This record gives sequence, structure tokens and C-alpha cells, in this order.
Amino acid sequence: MELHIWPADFGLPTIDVASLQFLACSKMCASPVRVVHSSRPWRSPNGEFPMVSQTDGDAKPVTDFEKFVDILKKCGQDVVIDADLTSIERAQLDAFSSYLHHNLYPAVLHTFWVDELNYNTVTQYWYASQLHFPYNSYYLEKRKKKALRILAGKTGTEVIRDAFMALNTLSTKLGDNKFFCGNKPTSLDALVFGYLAPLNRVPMPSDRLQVQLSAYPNLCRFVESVSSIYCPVTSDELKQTESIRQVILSRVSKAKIDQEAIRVATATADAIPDEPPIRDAILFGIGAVALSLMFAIHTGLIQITVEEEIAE
Amino acid sequence: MNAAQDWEDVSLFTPYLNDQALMYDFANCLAVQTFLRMTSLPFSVRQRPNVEFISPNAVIPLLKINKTLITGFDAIVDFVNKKGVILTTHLSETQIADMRANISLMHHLLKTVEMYILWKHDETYAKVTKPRVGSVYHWPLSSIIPFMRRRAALTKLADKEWDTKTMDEVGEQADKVFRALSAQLGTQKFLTGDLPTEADALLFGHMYTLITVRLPLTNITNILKKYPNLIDFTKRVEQLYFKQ
Repeated sequence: MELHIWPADFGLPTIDVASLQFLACSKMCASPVRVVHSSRPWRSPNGEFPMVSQTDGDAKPVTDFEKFVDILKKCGQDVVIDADLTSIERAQLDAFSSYLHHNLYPAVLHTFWVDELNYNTVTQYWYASQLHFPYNSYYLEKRKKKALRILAGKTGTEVIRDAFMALNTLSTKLGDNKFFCGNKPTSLDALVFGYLAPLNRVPMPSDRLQVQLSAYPNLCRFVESVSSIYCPVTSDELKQTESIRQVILSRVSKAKIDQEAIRVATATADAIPDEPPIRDAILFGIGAVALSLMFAIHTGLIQITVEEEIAE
Repeated sequence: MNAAQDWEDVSLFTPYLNDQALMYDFANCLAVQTFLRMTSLPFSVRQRPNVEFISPNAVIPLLKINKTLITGFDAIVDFVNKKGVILTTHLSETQIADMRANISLMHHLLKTVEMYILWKHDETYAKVTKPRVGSVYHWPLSSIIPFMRRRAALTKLADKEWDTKTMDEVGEQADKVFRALSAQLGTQKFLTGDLPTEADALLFGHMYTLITVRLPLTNITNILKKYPNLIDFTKRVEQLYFKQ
């Protein structure tokens, strides 16, 4: 089996939510999946990473998390994920994965794809540098439109408010445990890690959700521990993207300064009511008079007779 | 929202439940009614053909208190909670987290299953969805509006990556929801013990709808029959809140 995911960056094996979930899940049950860092998503059946291609001949590549978990369960490893759960725990796991997908995921999408400042500063630059022109413009536009459709007309404030609630719920559920269902990792842990890790690691100029996340020490600790146990990044992988990371960091700090400057500028601009410049008024006056004259001449209100001088 | 208003002259606007409302709208209307009956707040139900146009954001059902309009199950529950009528005071924070997860399971996964059957399955669309949606309009609107709603619904399903699923896979998803809810319910009276919560109201709404609905396709109802405790629960809640 081969797992195709986006390249590593910001101290994570990949910054894409779904790719992280697949990777974490496969590492948790120590499956012999070969991880391929790739930036050619058109090879996948739905044009998206992650994709799991299977070794046995004509089996279709898998892009669905639940199906991937099923494959991992069946592939006969020593560690079977979600094996020791009681039926009630399993029920809660299903319920929570649905809850997170609808309450937390939209906010993550909003932070990365819909928030203009973040999108222009980080997401667009990162994906554009991974892909080739002109495919990158098409791909970015496609992802952005899809993100907007998933938000389904909800405003940013509503989405973020839902996510604050979801973070609170998650933090309560985790408590002081190492994982969400006791001491063993489950597929729910992989899902949560996928949602939270990019927020935790990737610097963003507009960071309401990230600030809120850092207020829950147990969730941050959870991300750190899963990341260090299951998804460590080698220094080679980090070096490959070093230059892009530096550029993004400088872009983020620049965007923050710009944003601050704009805020100050609008604050002062509101204070002084700007008067219409006298030059514009004069130009407008001239234009208006000229138009009126032309209209009058055209309709015959003013008649101009040209007396020709007979040259003699 | 103005939570300080008095609870008087309260009416719940719903579509025609027997002839017009689709499965998930019916379930939500019923869930709100059940929830309000659980809190024993007085209200009257008014059925109107154009509730989705009365509602400011096209969400059904609609609760009207004097001049305030509140739409959707979650918002109505929030509003009632803000007035100090809370059904979850006996729960711990972890239990409330579980309850929210269950509500989301029904709101999203079960609703998507219902949407898939109503809009994607051709026979169901022709025999159930189209006549019901079109019932309140004259020709040619009676064909145009179902067509437009179907297109919108199919785009929504495609965004959730449900458009490539087969009926069997949808059945598995439904089975997952029922299994989860059935495991949580166990042999208890309600999902979280002896006292009802809003999650029970929503569960009753969906289960009652699935048990009583007439569809050309019976696979979802057959899957539900594997979980007798959910069916017993539905009968019990109906006895408790809907029989005078």
C-alpha cells in the first residue's frame, strides 16, 4: 500500500488536514504503508490528496477515511485500530467524528481557505509553490470554491463560534487523558490531530481560532504528543521546504504589520471627514455645463446660425 | 435574540406535516414539538404552505413569540435555555459533550441519509419527493420548484462526496447512526438516563419519521428494525408526550 500525501512543512509531515488524518491513523497501528510525499494530486480519482493506492492489482485507490480505517483493520497487523473499544465507546467515537466534521472542520477550512488575509498570505503561496503554473491556479480556485460551498453561506463569525464550542467540548472530553478513549490511540485521535495540528503549527496573520486553541493546554499537549510519537519529521524533509517556510514567515509578519497599518489608517481616516477636492468640483461643473449646452444645441433650444463670409 | 420576553402568544409554524413536509423537515418539526412538550411550555402549532418563505433564513420550523422569530431546532433550544428552562441541568460536562455529539450525528449524518434517499433515488423522487414539494404550487411551478430544489440538493450531496455512494453504502451509514444511538440508549429510559433532554426530542423526531414514512424503498426501515430498543423508545415517548 502506498499513501500519497502533500509534502512536509512547519514541523508537520504535511499541512493538509485530511492527509494528516490518514498518516496519523496509519502510524498509530504501525501499518507497513509506504508514505509518498507528492504534489501531483491529479493522479487521485477525485483530484485530491490523500490517496491510498493498493498493491493488489485493480483495486480502486481509496480516498475515504472510513474505508481506509476498514482496510487498516483488515490488513492483519498486530495492532488493530479501534479493536478494544466497547460498543458504547464505538458509538461515541462515531458521534464525535460527525460532530467534529460539522462543527470544527468548517472553521479550519475558513481559517485556511476563506479568510482572505490568510489565504493570500499563506495558503495560496504554499500550494502555488508546490504545484506548477497554470495547474496551481485551477487547483487553488477549485479548493477555495469547495470550501465556500461547505460553509454553506454561514458567516465567518458563526463558523468560528461553533468551533469555539467544539474546542471546549473536545477539551472537556479529553480531560487529563493521554488519548480520547483512555490510553490507546483510536481513529478519533487521528481525526482530532488532523484538525488541530495545522492550526497549532502553521503561522497565520488572522489567528482567532489559533489563539482560542492555545487557551486549551490539554489540547496543545495532545497535538504535541501525537506529533512526536506518530508523526515525527526528519530534518531532510524539513530542509526541502526550508526556503518556502522562510518566505511564508516573512509574508505573515509583513501581513500583520500591514493589517495594523490599515487599522491605524482607517481609524485616523474616520476621524477627519474628507472634503471633496475643489478640482473635482470644478471639473464636474465644466462637464455638466458642456453636456447641457450640447443637449440644448441638439434639441434646438439654442440655435446657431453660421454666416458665411463671402470671400470677394 | 431577546430572551427577556414573556412566553405568551407562542406559535410554531410548520409546513403541512401530512402532505408537504419532507422527511428531515418533518423530523425537525416533530423534534421541536416534542422538546417544547418536554419543557411543558404552552404553544400552538400552525401549518402553513409557505413556511420556508416566512422564515427569514429559509430554515424550518419557525417559532414565533410576539414579534420575535426563531428558526431551526438548535436556535429554538438555545432560546428556551436562555429563558432559564434547561433540560440538561442533571448532566455532567462530559455527558453534555456526548449529547452534543449525538445531536450532530442526527442533524448531519442521518439527515444526509434522508436527503440521499429523497433526492438521489429516482423512484423515491418521482413518487414521494416531487409530489410532496410540488403539492402546494400550481403548474408549472409544481414541476419547476422540485426540479430546482433537486439540483441544489444534489450539489450539496456532491460536496459531501456522497454522490458516488451506492444505496448499500448509504445503508451502512444509516446502520452506523442507529448502532451508535442504540448503544447509547441501551436499556435506559432516555439517552442519558431517566430524564429527557433535547437529544431525546431529536431522536424521537427522526425515529418516528422513519418508522411511519411510506417510501418505495424499505431498506432503511429494515435496518432500523434490527434495533428494537430504538423502536420501543419511540413508542414510549409517543405515549408520554402525544397522548392526552
